[in-house]
Amino acid sequence: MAGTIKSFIGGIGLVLIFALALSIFMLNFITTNNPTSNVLNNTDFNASITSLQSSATSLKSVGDTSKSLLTSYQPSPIYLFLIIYSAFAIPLGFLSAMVSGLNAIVTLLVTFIFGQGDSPFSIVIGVINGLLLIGVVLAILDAIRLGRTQS
Amino acid sequence: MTYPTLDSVNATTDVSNLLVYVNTLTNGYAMPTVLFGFFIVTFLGGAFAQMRFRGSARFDAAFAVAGFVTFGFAVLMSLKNGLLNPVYLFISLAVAILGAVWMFFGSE
Repeated sequence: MAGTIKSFIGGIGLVLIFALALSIFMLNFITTNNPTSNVLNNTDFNASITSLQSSATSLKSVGDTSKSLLTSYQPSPIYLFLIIYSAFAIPLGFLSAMVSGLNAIVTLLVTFIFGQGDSPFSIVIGVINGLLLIGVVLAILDAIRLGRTQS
Repeated sequence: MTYPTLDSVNATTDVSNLLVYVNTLTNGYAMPTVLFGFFIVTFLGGAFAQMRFRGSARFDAAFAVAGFVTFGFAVLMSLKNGLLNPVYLFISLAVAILGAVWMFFGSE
Protein backbone atom coordinates (compact mmCIF):
# COMPACT_ATOMS: atom_id res chain seq x y z
CA MET A 1 0.00 0.00 0.00
CA ALA A 2 2.47 2.54 -1.19
CA GLY A 3 1.53 6.19 -1.42
CA THR A 4 -1.44 8.00 0.00
CA ILE A 5 -4.97 6.86 0.56
CA LYS A 6 -6.00 8.82 -2.53
CA SER A 7 -3.76 6.79 -4.81
CA PHE A 8 -4.90 3.62 -3.06
CA ILE A 9 -8.59 4.31 -3.72
CA GLY A 10 -7.73 5.30 -7.29
CA GLY A 11 -5.91 2.00 -7.74
CA ILE A 12 -8.89 0.06 -6.42
CA GLY A 13 -11.14 1.87 -8.90
CA LEU A 14 -8.78 1.17 -11.79
CA VAL A 15 -8.60 -2.53 -10.89
CA LEU A 16 -12.39 -2.70 -10.69
CA ILE A 17 -12.79 -1.09 -14.10
CA PHE A 18 -10.10 -3.36 -15.54
CA ALA A 19 -11.74 -6.54 -14.19
CA LEU A 20 -15.17 -5.41 -15.37
CA ALA A 21 -13.91 -4.54 -18.85
CA LEU A 22 -12.08 -7.85 -19.25
CA SER A 23 -15.04 -9.91 -18.08
CA ILE A 24 -17.62 -8.12 -20.19
CA PHE A 25 -15.35 -8.26 -23.23
CA MET A 26 -14.92 -12.00 -22.74
CA LEU A 27 -18.63 -12.65 -22.31
CA ASN A 28 -19.65 -10.56 -25.32
CA PHE A 29 -16.91 -11.92 -27.57
CA ILE A 30 -17.67 -15.55 -26.77
CA THR A 31 -21.42 -14.99 -26.98
CA THR A 32 -21.02 -13.48 -30.44
CA ASN A 33 -18.61 -16.01 -31.87
CA ASN A 34 -19.47 -19.26 -30.07
CA PRO A 35 -22.86 -19.24 -28.34
CA THR A 36 -22.56 -22.95 -27.46
CA SER A 37 -19.42 -22.51 -25.36
CA ASN A 38 -19.23 -24.02 -21.89
CA VAL A 39 -17.93 -20.73 -20.55
CA LEU A 40 -21.40 -19.21 -20.74
CA ASN A 41 -22.91 -21.87 -18.47
CA ASN A 42 -20.77 -21.04 -15.44
CA THR A 43 -23.02 -19.68 -12.71
CA ASP A 44 -20.20 -18.61 -10.39
CA PHE A 45 -18.79 -16.36 -13.05
CA ASN A 46 -22.20 -14.79 -13.68
CA ALA A 47 -22.61 -14.13 -9.96
CA SER A 48 -19.20 -12.46 -9.81
CA ILE A 49 -19.95 -10.30 -12.83
CA THR A 50 -23.30 -9.28 -11.34
CA SER A 51 -21.58 -8.32 -8.10
CA LEU A 52 -18.97 -6.24 -9.93
CA GLN A 53 -21.65 -4.52 -11.98
CA SER A 54 -23.78 -3.78 -8.91
CA SER A 55 -20.80 -2.18 -7.15
CA ALA A 56 -20.11 0.02 -10.18
CA THR A 57 -23.81 0.89 -10.48
CA SER A 58 -24.09 1.84 -6.81
CA LEU A 59 -21.09 4.13 -7.18
CA LYS A 60 -22.68 5.76 -10.22
CA SER A 61 -26.00 6.26 -8.41
CA VAL A 62 -24.22 7.94 -5.49
CA GLY A 63 -22.40 10.21 -7.93
CA ASP A 64 -25.62 11.07 -9.75
CA THR A 65 -27.45 11.84 -6.52
CA SER A 66 -24.67 14.07 -5.27
CA LYS A 67 -24.44 15.85 -8.61
CA SER A 68 -28.16 16.52 -8.70
CA LEU A 69 -28.05 17.80 -5.13
CA LEU A 70 -25.14 20.12 -5.78
CA THR A 71 -26.35 21.48 -9.14
CA SER A 72 -29.99 22.01 -8.30
CA TYR A 73 -31.52 25.33 -9.38
CA GLN A 74 -33.93 25.34 -6.46
CA PRO A 75 -32.02 25.56 -3.22
CA SER A 76 -33.89 23.69 -0.60
CA PRO A 77 -34.26 24.91 3.00
CA ILE A 78 -31.80 22.27 4.08
CA TYR A 79 -29.30 23.11 1.37
CA LEU A 80 -26.39 23.31 3.70
CA PHE A 81 -27.29 19.99 5.16
CA LEU A 82 -27.38 18.50 1.67
CA ILE A 83 -23.88 19.77 0.96
CA ILE A 84 -22.68 18.13 4.14
CA TYR A 85 -24.58 15.00 3.21
CA SER A 86 -22.85 14.88 -0.18
CA ALA A 87 -19.50 15.34 1.45
CA PHE A 88 -20.17 12.20 3.42
CA ALA A 89 -22.13 10.27 0.79
CA ILE A 90 -19.44 10.33 -1.90
CA PRO A 91 -16.66 8.77 0.21
CA LEU A 92 -19.21 6.40 1.72
CA GLY A 93 -20.33 5.26 -1.73
CA PHE A 94 -16.75 4.84 -2.81
CA LEU A 95 -16.01 2.78 0.28
CA SER A 96 -19.05 0.54 -0.24
CA ALA A 97 -18.17 0.06 -3.90
CA MET A 98 -14.59 -0.72 -2.92
CA VAL A 99 -15.67 -3.30 -0.36
CA SER A 100 -18.12 -5.01 -2.67
CA GLY A 101 -15.63 -4.88 -5.52
CA LEU A 102 -12.95 -6.45 -3.34
CA ASN A 103 -15.42 -9.13 -2.33
CA ALA A 104 -16.32 -9.74 -5.97
CA ILE A 105 -12.69 -10.03 -7.03
CA VAL A 106 -11.84 -12.36 -4.17
CA THR A 107 -14.92 -14.49 -4.89
CA LEU A 108 -13.93 -14.60 -8.55
CA LEU A 109 -10.39 -15.73 -7.77
CA VAL A 110 -11.37 -18.27 -5.10
CA THR A 111 -14.17 -19.94 -7.02
CA PHE A 112 -12.19 -20.17 -10.22
CA ILE A 113 -9.01 -21.52 -8.70
CA PHE A 114 -10.18 -23.61 -5.73
CA GLY A 115 -13.81 -24.35 -6.59
CA GLN A 116 -16.85 -23.38 -4.60
CA GLY A 117 -17.88 -24.45 -1.15
CA ASP A 118 -16.26 -24.29 2.25
CA SER A 119 -12.87 -25.60 1.30
CA PRO A 120 -9.89 -24.77 3.53
CA PHE A 121 -8.58 -22.42 0.86
CA SER A 122 -11.84 -20.47 0.92
CA ILE A 123 -11.62 -20.06 4.68
CA VAL A 124 -8.01 -18.89 4.45
CA ILE A 125 -8.89 -16.44 1.69
CA GLY A 126 -11.87 -15.24 3.74
CA VAL A 127 -9.60 -14.49 6.70
CA ILE A 128 -7.18 -12.65 4.40
CA ASN A 129 -10.10 -10.70 2.95
CA GLY A 130 -11.25 -9.68 6.41
CA LEU A 131 -7.75 -8.62 7.38
CA LEU A 132 -7.47 -6.60 4.17
CA LEU A 133 -10.73 -4.77 4.87
CA ILE A 134 -9.68 -4.02 8.44
CA GLY A 135 -6.36 -2.76 7.09
CA VAL A 136 -8.14 -0.50 4.62
CA VAL A 137 -10.30 1.01 7.36
CA LEU A 138 -7.30 1.52 9.64
CA ALA A 139 -5.32 3.07 6.78
CA ILE A 140 -8.16 5.51 6.09
CA LEU A 141 -8.35 6.43 9.78
CA ASP A 142 -4.59 6.87 9.90
CA ALA A 143 -4.62 9.05 6.78
CA ILE A 144 -7.38 11.23 8.21
CA ARG A 145 -5.57 11.53 11.53
CA LEU A 146 -2.28 12.54 9.92
CA GLY A 147 -3.89 14.81 7.32
CA ARG A 148 -2.52 12.96 4.32
CA THR A 149 -5.83 12.49 2.49
CA GLN A 150 -5.31 15.21 -0.09
CA SER A 151 -1.68 14.89 -1.11
CA MET B 1 -11.83 -45.93 -22.48
CA THR B 2 -10.72 -46.85 -25.93
CA TYR B 3 -7.79 -44.99 -27.31
CA PRO B 4 -9.02 -42.50 -29.94
CA THR B 5 -7.04 -42.87 -33.12
CA LEU B 6 -6.35 -40.19 -35.67
CA ASP B 7 -8.76 -41.86 -38.06
CA SER B 8 -11.65 -40.67 -35.92
CA VAL B 9 -10.73 -37.02 -36.51
CA ASN B 10 -12.37 -35.23 -39.39
CA ALA B 11 -9.72 -32.64 -40.14
CA THR B 12 -11.15 -31.70 -43.50
CA THR B 13 -13.77 -29.38 -42.02
CA ASP B 14 -11.59 -27.68 -39.46
CA VAL B 15 -7.88 -28.09 -38.84
CA SER B 16 -8.31 -27.17 -35.19
CA ASN B 17 -9.91 -30.59 -34.73
CA LEU B 18 -6.34 -31.88 -34.64
CA LEU B 19 -5.66 -29.69 -31.62
CA VAL B 20 -8.84 -30.91 -29.95
CA TYR B 21 -7.63 -34.47 -30.64
CA VAL B 22 -4.31 -33.75 -28.96
CA ASN B 23 -6.06 -32.19 -25.99
CA THR B 24 -8.39 -35.17 -25.66
CA LEU B 25 -5.48 -37.60 -25.79
CA THR B 26 -3.67 -35.86 -22.95
CA ASN B 27 -6.76 -35.73 -20.76
CA GLY B 28 -7.12 -31.98 -21.23
CA TYR B 29 -3.60 -30.97 -20.25
CA ALA B 30 -2.07 -30.11 -23.63
CA MET B 31 -3.68 -26.73 -24.22
CA PRO B 32 -3.23 -25.45 -20.64
CA THR B 33 0.46 -26.36 -21.03
CA VAL B 34 0.61 -24.36 -24.25
CA LEU B 35 -1.10 -21.48 -22.45
CA PHE B 36 1.35 -21.66 -19.55
CA GLY B 37 4.30 -21.74 -21.95
CA PHE B 38 2.90 -18.69 -23.74
CA PHE B 39 2.60 -16.90 -20.41
CA ILE B 40 6.16 -17.78 -19.34
CA VAL B 41 7.66 -16.77 -22.70
CA THR B 42 5.81 -13.45 -22.67
CA PHE B 43 6.64 -12.74 -19.05
CA LEU B 44 10.35 -13.50 -19.29
CA GLY B 45 10.60 -11.89 -22.73
CA GLY B 46 9.05 -8.68 -21.46
CA ALA B 47 11.20 -8.64 -18.34
CA PHE B 48 14.46 -9.26 -20.20
CA ALA B 49 13.55 -6.74 -22.91
CA GLN B 50 13.04 -4.14 -20.20
CA MET B 51 16.37 -5.13 -18.70
CA ARG B 52 18.01 -4.59 -22.06
CA PHE B 53 16.34 -1.26 -22.87
CA ARG B 54 16.05 0.32 -19.43
CA GLY B 55 18.78 -1.34 -17.47
CA SER B 56 16.37 -2.72 -14.89
CA ALA B 57 13.34 -4.98 -15.17
CA ARG B 58 9.90 -4.15 -13.84
CA PHE B 59 8.54 -7.59 -13.13
CA ASP B 60 5.11 -6.27 -12.14
CA ALA B 61 4.56 -4.63 -15.52
CA ALA B 62 5.87 -7.71 -17.33
CA PHE B 63 3.56 -9.92 -15.28
CA ALA B 64 0.55 -7.69 -16.01
CA VAL B 65 1.25 -7.62 -19.75
CA ALA B 66 1.84 -11.38 -19.85
CA GLY B 67 -1.39 -12.06 -17.96
CA PHE B 68 -3.33 -9.77 -20.28
CA VAL B 69 -2.09 -11.31 -23.53
CA THR B 70 -2.46 -14.83 -22.11
CA PHE B 71 -6.07 -14.02 -21.28
CA GLY B 72 -6.62 -12.88 -24.87
CA PHE B 73 -5.06 -16.09 -26.14
CA ALA B 74 -7.28 -18.13 -23.81
CA VAL B 75 -10.38 -16.32 -25.06
CA LEU B 76 -9.40 -17.17 -28.64
CA MET B 77 -8.83 -20.79 -27.61
CA SER B 78 -12.20 -21.06 -25.90
CA LEU B 79 -13.96 -20.20 -29.16
CA LYS B 80 -13.44 -23.84 -30.15
CA ASN B 81 -15.47 -26.31 -28.14
CA GLY B 82 -13.37 -28.93 -26.38
CA LEU B 83 -10.09 -27.10 -26.90
CA LEU B 84 -9.75 -25.48 -23.50
CA ASN B 85 -11.50 -26.21 -20.24
CA PRO B 86 -13.29 -23.04 -19.02
CA VAL B 87 -11.51 -23.35 -15.68
CA TYR B 88 -8.20 -22.44 -17.34
CA LEU B 89 -9.83 -19.45 -19.02
CA PHE B 90 -11.00 -18.22 -15.63
CA ILE B 91 -7.58 -18.86 -14.13
CA SER B 92 -6.02 -16.74 -16.86
CA LEU B 93 -8.57 -14.02 -16.07
CA ALA B 94 -7.59 -14.25 -12.41
CA VAL B 95 -3.91 -13.98 -13.34
CA ALA B 96 -4.65 -10.89 -15.45
CA ILE B 97 -6.50 -9.25 -12.54
CA LEU B 98 -3.71 -10.19 -10.14
CA GLY B 99 -1.20 -8.65 -12.54
CA ALA B 100 -3.21 -5.43 -12.59
CA VAL B 101 -3.38 -5.42 -8.80
CA TRP B 102 0.37 -5.99 -8.52
CA MET B 103 1.11 -3.26 -11.06
CA PHE B 104 -1.17 -0.67 -9.46
CA PHE B 105 -0.17 -1.31 -5.86
CA GLY B 106 3.27 -2.81 -6.01
CA SER B 107 5.49 -0.07 -7.36
CA GLU B 108 5.97 3.62 -6.82
